[in-house]
Amino acid sequence: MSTGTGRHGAAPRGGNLQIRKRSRIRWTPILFLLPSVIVFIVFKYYLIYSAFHISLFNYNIVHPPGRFVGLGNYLVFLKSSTFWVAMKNTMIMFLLSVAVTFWVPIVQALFLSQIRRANAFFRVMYQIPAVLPVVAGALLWKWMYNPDRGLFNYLLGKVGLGPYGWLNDPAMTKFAIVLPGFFASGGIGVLLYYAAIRSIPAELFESAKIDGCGPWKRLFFIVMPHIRFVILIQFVSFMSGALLAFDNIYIMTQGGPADASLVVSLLIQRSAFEQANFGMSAALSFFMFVVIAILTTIQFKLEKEQ
Amino acid sequence: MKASRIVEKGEKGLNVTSYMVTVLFIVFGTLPLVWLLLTSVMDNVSIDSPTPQFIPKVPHSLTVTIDYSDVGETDVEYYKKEAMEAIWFPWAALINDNVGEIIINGMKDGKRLFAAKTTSAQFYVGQLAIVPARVVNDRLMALKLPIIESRNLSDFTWYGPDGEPIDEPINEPATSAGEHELAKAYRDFFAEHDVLDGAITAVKQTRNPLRLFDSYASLQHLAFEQAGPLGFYRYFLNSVIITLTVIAWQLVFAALASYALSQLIESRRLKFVLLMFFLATIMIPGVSILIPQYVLIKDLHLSDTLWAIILPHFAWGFVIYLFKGFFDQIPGELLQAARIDGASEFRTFLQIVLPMSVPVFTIVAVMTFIPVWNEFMWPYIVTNSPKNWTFTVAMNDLQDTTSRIRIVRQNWISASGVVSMIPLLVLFIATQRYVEKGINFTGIKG
Repeated sequence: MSTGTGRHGAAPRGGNLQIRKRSRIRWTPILFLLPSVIVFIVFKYYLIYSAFHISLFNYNIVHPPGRFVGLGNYLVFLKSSTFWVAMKNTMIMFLLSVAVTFWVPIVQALFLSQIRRANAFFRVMYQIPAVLPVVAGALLWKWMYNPDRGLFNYLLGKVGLGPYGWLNDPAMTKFAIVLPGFFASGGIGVLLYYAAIRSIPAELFESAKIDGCGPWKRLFFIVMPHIRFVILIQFVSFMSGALLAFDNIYIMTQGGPADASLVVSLLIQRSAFEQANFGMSAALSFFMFVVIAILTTIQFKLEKEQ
Repeated sequence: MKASRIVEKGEKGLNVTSYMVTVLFIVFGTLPLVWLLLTSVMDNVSIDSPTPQFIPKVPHSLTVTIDYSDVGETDVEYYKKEAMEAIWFPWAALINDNVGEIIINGMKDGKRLFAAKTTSAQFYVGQLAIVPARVVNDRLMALKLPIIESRNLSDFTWYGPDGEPIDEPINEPATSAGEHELAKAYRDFFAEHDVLDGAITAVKQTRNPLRLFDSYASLQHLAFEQAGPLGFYRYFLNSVIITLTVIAWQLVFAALASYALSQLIESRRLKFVLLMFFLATIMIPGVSILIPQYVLIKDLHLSDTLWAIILPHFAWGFVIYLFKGFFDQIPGELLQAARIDGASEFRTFLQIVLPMSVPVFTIVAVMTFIPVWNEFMWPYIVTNSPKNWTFTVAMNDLQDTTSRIRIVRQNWISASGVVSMIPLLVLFIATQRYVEKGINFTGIKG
C-alpha cells in the first residue's frame, strides 16, 4: 500500500531539492507506517476474517478446523432461547445504564460550567471516582450488596427498607449491576462536555441576555443545543460500551441468577471457554461485530454531517 | 467593577444550585472510595459484623516473655518450634479479638535467647495452612514449621545462649489481676493447653497503630508460592509492565504512523485509503475477535505470557485518530522550512513536531493507560499460571470462593483496590492540565 508513496512525493519545485526529497520520501513514510500496518493486519483484519472463518466450522481447537457446517452455527443460536434471553438482557441493561449513567456527566458538566470559584478543584474531584478500576469497583459493590453484612443493605435498613439480596433477585440484579456506574461516572466524560460548553461563543450568551433570556433558560436553550452533537457522539460510543459490557457482570453475577444477567458477551465467553464450542462462540462474536459495525458507521456518518 | 455589576434575576439561584449539585455528585462519587479506604484498614471481625463499623480499631499487640532457664535443650529448631507454638496456637483461639501482632522473647538465665514475631499480615495469610482447626499439639507444629519458614510467615531471630542481656527486667511477676483481658486470655490458653516447655513470665498488652495497615502487608505474603517474593504485588508489577509497554508502542509507532499519514503522504487517495484502513478497525470490538485471538496467540506459542496481553493492544485505531487529528493542524510551512534546512524527516519529527505535541502525547498516554490497566476479560482468558496474571485477574481470584485454599477477606480485596487506584490517580492529577488542553484540539469532542 505504501509503496506508491514516492511517485506522489514531490511536486516539481526545483532541481536539487526535488531529487533530495524524492529519495527521502520514498522510504521514510514506509518505515514510519510499516510497524503499525503490520500489527493492524495481524491483530485486526486477520482476526476478524478468522472469526468468520471459525464460525463456519464446528471448530476443534486441538485439530483445527474441524467439521464444516456453513452457517449452521448462526442458525443454531438464532433458534436457541438462551441467545434471545441474552439479547433481551443486553438491551435491558443498555437501557438501564442510559437511565442510570449516561446523563450524569452531562448534568455534571452543565452545572460545573456555572461555577467560577474553585472550578479547577471540582474538575479534579470529578476525575477521582473514575480512577477505581472496574474490577475493583465491581468487587466493592458486590460486597456492599451482600444481604447479611453489606453496607448498602445496612443503610437501606436504616430507612426501613430491610435487607435485600440485590444480586440474588432476578428482577433486581440488572439494576444492581448498573447502579455502581452512577457513582463512578465522572471521569473524562465530564471534561469533554465541559470543554464543549466552554467553546460556545460568549456573544451568544450576551445577545440572549439582552433579549431577556434568564440564566436557567440559557442553560437549556443555548447550551444544550450546542452540545447536542457531542452528546450524540458520546451516546454512540456509550452504546457500544454498554452492549459489550462484560467485566462487571462477570464478577458480580457470572450471568446469574437463572440467566437474569446473561448478556451476549458473557454468552460468547461461556460457549467458548466453558462449553468448548468455539465455532458457536465465533458465530456469536461475528454477529456482535456486525451490530457494532452498523452502530459505528452511523456514528461516523453523524460526525461527517457536522 | 464588582459593586456595579447588576445581579440578574435567577442568577443566584442557579449559582447555589450549581454548587449544591456539584458537591452532591462529588460526595456520591467519593463515598464508595472512602468505604474502600476504611475497610482496607479494618480488622476481620468488624468487617464481617452485620452492623457495619465505620471506625477502624487499632489492633492489639502482645509481647510475651518465656523463660527457658530450666530447659536444657540447645537446638535452634526446638526453640523455633516453641516460639511458633506460643504464637500460632493461642492466636487461633483469640481470632476474634483483633490481635495485631504477637512478639515472643525467649529468655535463659536473664539473657535473651531468641525473639520471634508474627504480624496479622502474616497470620491471616497462613491461618488456613498452619492452624486450620483448633488442634494443639507438638507434632502438628513440627509438621507446620517448614511451611512457616518457606512462606516467611513468622520472623525468628536466634541470639544463642550468649545472647545480649536485657536491660530492663521484663521478668516482672505475673499478676493476673493487673493484666488486660487479652493478656489474661493468652495465659489462660496455656493454662489449658500444656504444649510449651518454657514458663510464661510476662504478657504485655499494648496497641500498635502500624498494624492497621497489615492488609497491605498481607498482599506481599499472599500468593507467595505462585508469584514469588513480591506476592500479590507481583500482579501489579505485571500490569505496570503491560501498560507501560503498550503506551511506549503507541507513543512511538502509532505517532510515527499517524505523522506519516498526516504530513508525509501527499496523494489524497492513498491517504484516504490508509486512514480508512486504520480507522475501520474501531468497529471491531474486542469480544468479536476473542476466539481467533486466542487461537492465534496459541499458534504463536505465546499463551500464558505477558506478550499475549500486550500484543493485541498495539493495534488501536482510536489512537491513530487522536494523533492524526493533532498532526493535521501542524502548519506545513513549518515542516517545509526544516526540510529546506536539510533536516531528515525523522529529525524534523524529533525536533520540530515532538516538542509541540506534548498535550496529544499526554492524552494518548492517558487514554491508553485506562483501558489497558482496567482490562479483565482477555488476561483472564489467556493466562493460566498466576505469575502472569494482571492484578484484575488476581483480584477476581481473591473473591473466588470455589478454590478452598483461602478465606475471602474483604480487607485484602479493599487494600488491593486502593493500591490499584494509585497509578491512575497519580496520572490524572499529574496530567489533568494537558488532558484538558488536549481535549480541545484532538477532535474527540467531534
